[in-house]
Amino acid sequence: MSTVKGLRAGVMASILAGVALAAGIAQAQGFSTERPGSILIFPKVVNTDVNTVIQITNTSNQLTYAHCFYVNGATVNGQPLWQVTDFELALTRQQPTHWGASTGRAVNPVDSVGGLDPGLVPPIPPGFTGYLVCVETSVDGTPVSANSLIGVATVGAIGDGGPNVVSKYNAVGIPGCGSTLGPCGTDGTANDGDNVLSLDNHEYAACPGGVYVNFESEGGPDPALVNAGNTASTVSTNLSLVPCGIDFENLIPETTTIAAQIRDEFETVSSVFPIGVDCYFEDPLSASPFGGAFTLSSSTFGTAILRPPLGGNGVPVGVPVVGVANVLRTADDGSQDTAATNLHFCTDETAPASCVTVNSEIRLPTFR
Amino acid sequence: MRVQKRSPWLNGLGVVLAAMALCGARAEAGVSSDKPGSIVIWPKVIADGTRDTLITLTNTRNEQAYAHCEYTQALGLCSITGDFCDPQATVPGSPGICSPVTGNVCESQWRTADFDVVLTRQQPTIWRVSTGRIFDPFLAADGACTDIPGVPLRQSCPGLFLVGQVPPATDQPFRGELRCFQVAPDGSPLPANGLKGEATIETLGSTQISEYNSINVEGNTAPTQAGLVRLNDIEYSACPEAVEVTHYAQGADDLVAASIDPAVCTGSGCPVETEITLVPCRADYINEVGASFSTNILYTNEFEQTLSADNPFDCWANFDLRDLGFASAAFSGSTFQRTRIIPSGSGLCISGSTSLNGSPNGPCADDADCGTGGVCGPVTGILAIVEEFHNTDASLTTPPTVAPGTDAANGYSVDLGVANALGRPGHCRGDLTQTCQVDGDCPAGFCRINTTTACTTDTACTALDPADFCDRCMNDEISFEAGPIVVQQ
Amino acid sequence: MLSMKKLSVVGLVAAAYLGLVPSVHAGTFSDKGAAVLIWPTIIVDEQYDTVVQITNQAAVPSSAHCFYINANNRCTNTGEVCESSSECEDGGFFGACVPGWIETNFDVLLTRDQPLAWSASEGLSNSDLPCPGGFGSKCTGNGGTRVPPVGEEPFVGELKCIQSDPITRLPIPCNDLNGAPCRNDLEGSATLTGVVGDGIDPERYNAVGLRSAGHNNGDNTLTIGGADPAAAEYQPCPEVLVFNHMFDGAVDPVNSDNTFQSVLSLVPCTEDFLVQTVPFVTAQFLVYNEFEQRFSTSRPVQCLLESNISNIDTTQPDRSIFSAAVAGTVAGQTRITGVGGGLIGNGILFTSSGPEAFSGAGYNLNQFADRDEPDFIRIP
Repeated sequence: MSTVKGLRAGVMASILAGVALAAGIAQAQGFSTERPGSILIFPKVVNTDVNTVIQITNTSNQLTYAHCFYVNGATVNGQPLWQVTDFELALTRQQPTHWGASTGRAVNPVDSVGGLDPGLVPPIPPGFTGYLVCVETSVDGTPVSANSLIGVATVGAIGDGGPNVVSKYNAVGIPGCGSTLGPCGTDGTANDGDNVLSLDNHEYAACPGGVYVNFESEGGPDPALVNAGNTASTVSTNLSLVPCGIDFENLIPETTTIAAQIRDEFETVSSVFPIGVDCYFEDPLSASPFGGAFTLSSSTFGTAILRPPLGGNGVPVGVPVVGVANVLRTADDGSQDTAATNLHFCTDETAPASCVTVNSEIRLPTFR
Repeated sequence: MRVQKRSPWLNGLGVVLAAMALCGARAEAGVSSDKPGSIVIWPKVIADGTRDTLITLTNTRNEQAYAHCEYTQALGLCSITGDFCDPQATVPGSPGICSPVTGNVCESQWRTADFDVVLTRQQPTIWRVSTGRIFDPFLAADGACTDIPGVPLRQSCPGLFLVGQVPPATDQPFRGELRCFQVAPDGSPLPANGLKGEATIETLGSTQISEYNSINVEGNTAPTQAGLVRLNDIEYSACPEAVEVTHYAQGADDLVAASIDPAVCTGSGCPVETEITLVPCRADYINEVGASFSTNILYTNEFEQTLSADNPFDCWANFDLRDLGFASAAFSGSTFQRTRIIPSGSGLCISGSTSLNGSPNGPCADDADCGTGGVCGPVTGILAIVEEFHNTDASLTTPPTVAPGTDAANGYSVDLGVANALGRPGHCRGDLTQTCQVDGDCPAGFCRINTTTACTTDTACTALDPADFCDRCMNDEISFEAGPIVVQQ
Repeated sequence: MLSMKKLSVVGLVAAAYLGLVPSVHAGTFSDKGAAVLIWPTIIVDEQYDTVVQITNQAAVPSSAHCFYINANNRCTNTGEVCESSSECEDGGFFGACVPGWIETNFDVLLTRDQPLAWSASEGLSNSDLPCPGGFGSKCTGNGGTRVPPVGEEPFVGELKCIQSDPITRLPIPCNDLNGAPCRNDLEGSATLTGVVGDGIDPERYNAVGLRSAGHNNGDNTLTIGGADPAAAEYQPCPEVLVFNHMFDGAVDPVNSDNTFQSVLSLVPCTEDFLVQTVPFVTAQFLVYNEFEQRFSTSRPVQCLLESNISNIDTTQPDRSIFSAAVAGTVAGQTRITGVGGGLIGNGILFTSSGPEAFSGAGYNLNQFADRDEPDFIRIP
């Protein structure tokens, strides 16, 4: 006869077994702006009339390292510079760190910048407009899938007489799969430690097929400001997009073409194609690539999916993008402020979203 | 019957010498700036209306020497306005940048012009890049050259000049490189290692000069393929694994000028600007294709802090440190830095119609990336020159009243420990991740022309095409037309 | 498979081939890491100073034991610095102006990959070190470095640095064949910097390097080259220095208002810092002009020869074989051979449009073949 103790033990065992089974078939987690990852992408880093402060945190209890790459996507007469500068960081357990992108950070224990210096961070030159990628590594620079890093960027400027515009966004985190029990699910494998970071749901999470942009009608009024009595307010959204796939080895800027599928509050659908992303994309929704499609005629709000077009076989042509939207609101008295929002990832592969996951890669430099 | 005795000593010597010849003993010093060679490279040659270059070329041997030379114009052309431009210029308003018209980008060019030079034994010779030189046997031997008016301006100098004349640089303004190959009278490459040179870059209207030694590649054996010189430490010496230069950090003040004469530095300090010039070892003068190259540029300051920048270049690069966003001396607090330039990338298409970046001679990982019939070879080695510009208050005023002081120096070769020698190892055709010293280190290769035909010797390829050959252990190559030396009248 | 007979035949063919091809040689290096660096020209005077740079190529710390050699000429009667005996007047009597040789040594400790530089007139004190170590220091590793300023102004001399053990100050024992590889981690340059008018005149050349020959017993005698490979600790000094120059007084083909003048610096390969004997080598010069015409001269090199080339063979430059007035062409090649020892040097080319308007450019000499006789550097 089973005792109560034995019954309870049996119940506990079945509960634990269920938990283990559930863990084994957990959903693949993919790109995230909320969970730690092994690769961080900061899609908007600027040193123009506004500056950028980068924060990175090691969320693990081990010392970790990162190999970071600034990519300058500024253009000269329409040609992207695609200038790459890289540096290395060392973060102690649970350590947060920060630096101003325009000033960099020196290794100087007695300077006014408090905290353990994570490494020498170069300043970005004036006019820099681009992004930052940080890859988690071991001490010898070998990529690892420890998923320790999170990041935040603050973009803006505060000064006497303005402008006073400050916005903040989370870095896009790409998890390393690590194993079949990792964030990629049963397809996950260990990191092979070579210079090719495969974003394929085996080594690292694959690229989500698209991103969602929730927006207010471009150039239109902001309802909150209107309700507060600022009747001549305007809203403008600036998109910063980075192709999901970077070749630092051969220094080839990734080029992709995306389409925008726009839907307003009345379910009216429109689309824009092609939108070229040549190494880096930074433009407001009023810019010519969008053809005015984001200025809604009969609706205040809309949502768009930005993804590569599908070929005849249903396979995306080109790589998708990741990015951030920075919304500038201007009141009728001229005051302004910005608010950045991460672009949510579209993983719905069914129509009409059709955000088919894309395998891609990030290639780190090698020396032959 | 007399028994022939074999000398064991001679046998032993034969074995040793045979082993040396067959294995191709690796020379340590093959690419250098202080020993004569069979290929002479001047990486920085300027004739742009503000600066001009004197080229000296000397035959250090006691026999007559012949050289086949190639100027390479590396200035770009603005795609819309057609102006000359500097492909590395990125700072708006800086010299060499295209005018701000949408789509007006600086497209790299690689235009070459060749000529020959004949030198008698031990003969030095000299010519000015913007004018070339014309032989005039009646010119007075008074140590002065004579201008010959015309468009372009030409010049004659006292001395023997058996070839007749050297043309002025292709088109001007000219910024690029010059290479001379020691050849036999029939134009075939000759690894006699008799040539050396210098370049003196002068600022017009001033006394400012910079001088550097040419970079000379020693030859070991005559090339086996017509028109193709292989820098593999077997035919000719291999290029270094990396190069480095030590120089003032970007914007750092001259260390001693203010102490010598404070009055010259009171306004702006005496900041020093640095230019680094890079040329790829590989060159294809037959198909007129300049080699693209990607670099990892590591710079270490006096505080042992290292930063890096990664940059692709096309065929020739001359950049100011500011062009690549180098952290300044004001940021690091360091006056000097060491800059190491390492070739990077997975491979380079050396034939074929495309590459990973769409252009014919761009990066690749395997032959398929280069298109049908394409060949993916190893990335090219790199050679470097550094030039510094020492400013004073007078040189920074608008307009400047003096030219900045200039000095140039040769770069250092670096052994990265890959091959345990200064020369770059080769890489196996079909698997560029595998390094090699000789063909035997690689599995079967592929023919160069019939790219899908596997081979272990040239015979398998020449059976299909007499001009074909087998690629196994690949390294840098220079191809140029081998024609008889032509005396210009 | 090759039989012994075939190998013998192949060997003979190879021997003939190798005899025809210029032999693989070593010599000195001005563009590769080395174990000994020599800067033949260090000048400090009222118009010029020398910025010395030394860099550690390796990713491990490195140490160098360095020697300034003060080669100022001095009056035998007054001990003052002089250029000619006419300056040695004292009480109506004239002394002789003879070469001097005063050595000062110091240590430089470099961190991994580190470039380090100092001016010869000021040296490098502890407060100037980038990585002195201790609280507040950005890095450690230069502790123990102290570079003195040169002993006097004016100063003409050379600098030698030997990669060494930081404790013993002697070369590090090594053998490439038994797991203790010899290191060639040092590279260097010197920039003679002057202020001329409102501008700066920098003249930069790379230091000349001696690379390891593959083994070193770590004693105080550095054996450089020689016929016995088992004894040679460093690769040999060159047999011939090849000096390309412009003849003095030649008109600059680019700026015809300017004329050229060349300066040559030579130092002996062999130097004895232990016994402090002044080295003496005879330099033989073969001068070729662009007509393939040849001239020759010789000159003793006692400690250091630093001279306008048209003053090498005469006190009247216009009559020198190095002058354009005699040679007739703009460019020349001079081949320099040391008798009684090897030589190392560098050149400087000046252009001038007048006594107050000039500037120079430094450059390295080329070389040809290796000396068969060994040279030595003996250190305390």
